[in-house]
Amino acid sequence: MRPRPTVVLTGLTVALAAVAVLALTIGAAGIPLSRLFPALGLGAAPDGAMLARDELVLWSIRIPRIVATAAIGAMLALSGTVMQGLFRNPLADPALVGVASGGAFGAALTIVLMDAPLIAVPWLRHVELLPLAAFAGALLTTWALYTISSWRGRTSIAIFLLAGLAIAALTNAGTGLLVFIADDRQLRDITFWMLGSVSGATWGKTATLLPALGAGLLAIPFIARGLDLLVLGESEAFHSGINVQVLKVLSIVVVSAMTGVAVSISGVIGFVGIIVPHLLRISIGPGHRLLLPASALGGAMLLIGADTLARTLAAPAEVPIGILTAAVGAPFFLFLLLRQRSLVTL
Amino acid sequence: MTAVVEVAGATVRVGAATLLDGVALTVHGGETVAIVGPNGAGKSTLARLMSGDLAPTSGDVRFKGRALSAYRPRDLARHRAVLSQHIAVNFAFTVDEIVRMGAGEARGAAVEALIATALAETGLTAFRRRELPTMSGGEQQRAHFARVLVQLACGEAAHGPGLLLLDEPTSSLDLRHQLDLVDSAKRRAVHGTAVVAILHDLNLAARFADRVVVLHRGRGVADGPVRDVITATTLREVFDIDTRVEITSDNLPAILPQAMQVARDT
Repeated sequence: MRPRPTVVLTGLTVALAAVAVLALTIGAAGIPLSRLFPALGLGAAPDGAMLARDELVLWSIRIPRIVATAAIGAMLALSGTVMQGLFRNPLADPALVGVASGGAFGAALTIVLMDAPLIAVPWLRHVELLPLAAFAGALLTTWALYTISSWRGRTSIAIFLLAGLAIAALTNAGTGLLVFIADDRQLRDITFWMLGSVSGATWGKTATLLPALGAGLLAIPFIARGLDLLVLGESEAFHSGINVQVLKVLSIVVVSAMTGVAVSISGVIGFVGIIVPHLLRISIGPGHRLLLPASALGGAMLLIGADTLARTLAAPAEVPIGILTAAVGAPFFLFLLLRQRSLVTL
Repeated sequence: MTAVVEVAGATVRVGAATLLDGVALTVHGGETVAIVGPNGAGKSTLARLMSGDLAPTSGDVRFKGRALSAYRPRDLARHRAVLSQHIAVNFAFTVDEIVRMGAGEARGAAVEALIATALAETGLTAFRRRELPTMSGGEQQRAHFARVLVQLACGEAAHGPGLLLLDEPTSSLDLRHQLDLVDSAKRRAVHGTAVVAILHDLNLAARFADRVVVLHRGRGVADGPVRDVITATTLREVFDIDTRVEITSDNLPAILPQAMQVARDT
C-alpha cells in the first residue's frame, strides 16, 4: 500500500523544519537551542551582548544561507524528478547529463564577458544577468539533449546518457576555454563558484532563486498527470489526452530555469536530483502528483543537511558541498545502475 | 448505424516512400474490423491515421463527422482509446495505478467499478498491487489493455459509443489470453463501440472480426465479410503463400499454410 499523500507531505515538512532548526544552531559560532529562539525574536532574551551577536550571525549569515540552500536543494531535486519523467528514465539528472554544465557555461560566459564593453548591458546587474545566462545555457543543452535522444516518440536511455556525456564534455570544454582566457580576478570568481558552494549566499542572491523555485512549484499541477502518462510513451500520453508538445516545452523550461538559476548561485552540485527522487519513489511510489512536491521538500532537507556537514566536517574550513554530494551520490548512482540492470532496457 | 471513423483517399508519404496510397475505410459503431496484410503493407500507418498520431499527406480523416485534426488531444481521448504494441514502463507503477490512469481525473464509485471490471476481464485482479516492471511482457500488455478499457468506458459513459483501436494487441499473449482479449473487444462492439484491430494471426482475425480489410503495398485490396475476404486466392496474391482455407464447424475460415499441410498429410 502507498502511504497517504497528506501524511507524506506533513512528515517531510516537519522533518525539513527540524533539519533547518538544527542547521541554525550548528556552525563556527554555535548557537544552542536555548539562545536560538530568543535571537529569532521568540521568547525572552537572557543576555544582551550574546543576543546581539547571535542575531547578527543568524540574520545576516546563517538564515540567508539556509534559505538559499533549501531553495537550491528543492530546485535540484525537483528538476531531477521532472527530467526523469520527461525522459522516462530514472537515471536522468541535470548535473549528470550536461544540463548543469550548460548552465555553468552560460554563467562563466557572463563572468568573463561582463567586462567587455560590447557585451556590457547597463540595465542588467551582475546578480540578475548571471542566473539568466545560466538559464539560457541550461535551456539550450536540455533542448539539444531531448532532440538528440528522442526519436519517434521513444527515448533511448543509452543514447540519452551518451549524448549527455558528449554535451557535458562540450560545455566543459567551453568553460575551460573561458577559464583559459579569463584574467586573474575572473578566474578566481569562476573557480570559486565552480567548486559548488552555498557559502556566498546573501539575501540578494537568495532573492534571485525564488522566482525559479516558484515557477517550478507552480508548474507541478500542470505537469504531474502528463508526466505519469508520458512514462508509457509519447504516443500513449497523446492517446490518453495529453498535449505532449505543451507538456514537453513546459517541463524543459521549468527544468532549465531551476537548474540554471541554482547553478548560477551555487555552482554544479550533482546527484541531489537522483538520490532524492529515487528514495522517494521506493517509499511513496512513482506517481508525480505526490512525488514532485515531496522531491522539493526532500531536496531542501538533503541539501541543508549536506551543507551543515560541509560546514562542520573540517571546521573552520568548509568542504565544498559539490564534492560532498558527489562523494555520496556517485556510489549511490552506481548502486542504482547495478540494481536496475535487469529492469531498465538500455 | 453512424460512422465513427471515416478515412477517405488517405495518402501518406514520408520522403520518397509512399506508405499509404489512397486508402478508404469507414467504420461504424458496433462493427469489428480486422486490418491484415504482410509486413510493410501500411497497417500501422493506417492505425496511426485513425488514432490521430499522424495526419495524411493528402486525403481526409473524419471522426464522428468532424475533421480529426479539429479535436484537441483531451477531447479525442474521450472518444477513442488506443492500445499500442510495445510499451516499456521504467518506473515502478503498480497495475492498479496504470489502470487508473485510464480514468483521467475522474474519481468515485463508478470509476472504481469500471477499474474492477477491467481488471477482472484481463485476469489481473490478483495482480493489482504488483509493480509493472516486475511482470512478464504478456501480463504488462494485459494491464495496458485494462487501462485502455477503462479509458474507453469513461469516455463512452459521457459521450456514447466510441472507437477502440488495437495495434497487434495479442503480440505477447498466450493463446488463452489472446482469445480472452478478442472476446473483450467483441463485447464492446455489442454495446456499440467501433473496434478496429491490426492482427497478424489470420485465424484470430477470422474469430474476431465481422469485416476484414486487407492492405497490400499501401493500398486497400480487399474489404468485406470474413468468409469473402479470407480465401486461398487472396492469401496467395497478398502474402505470396499457398494455403488451404477450410470452413470450420462454427462457420469460420481456418487457414492452413501449405507447408503445414504437407506435414499433416505425411
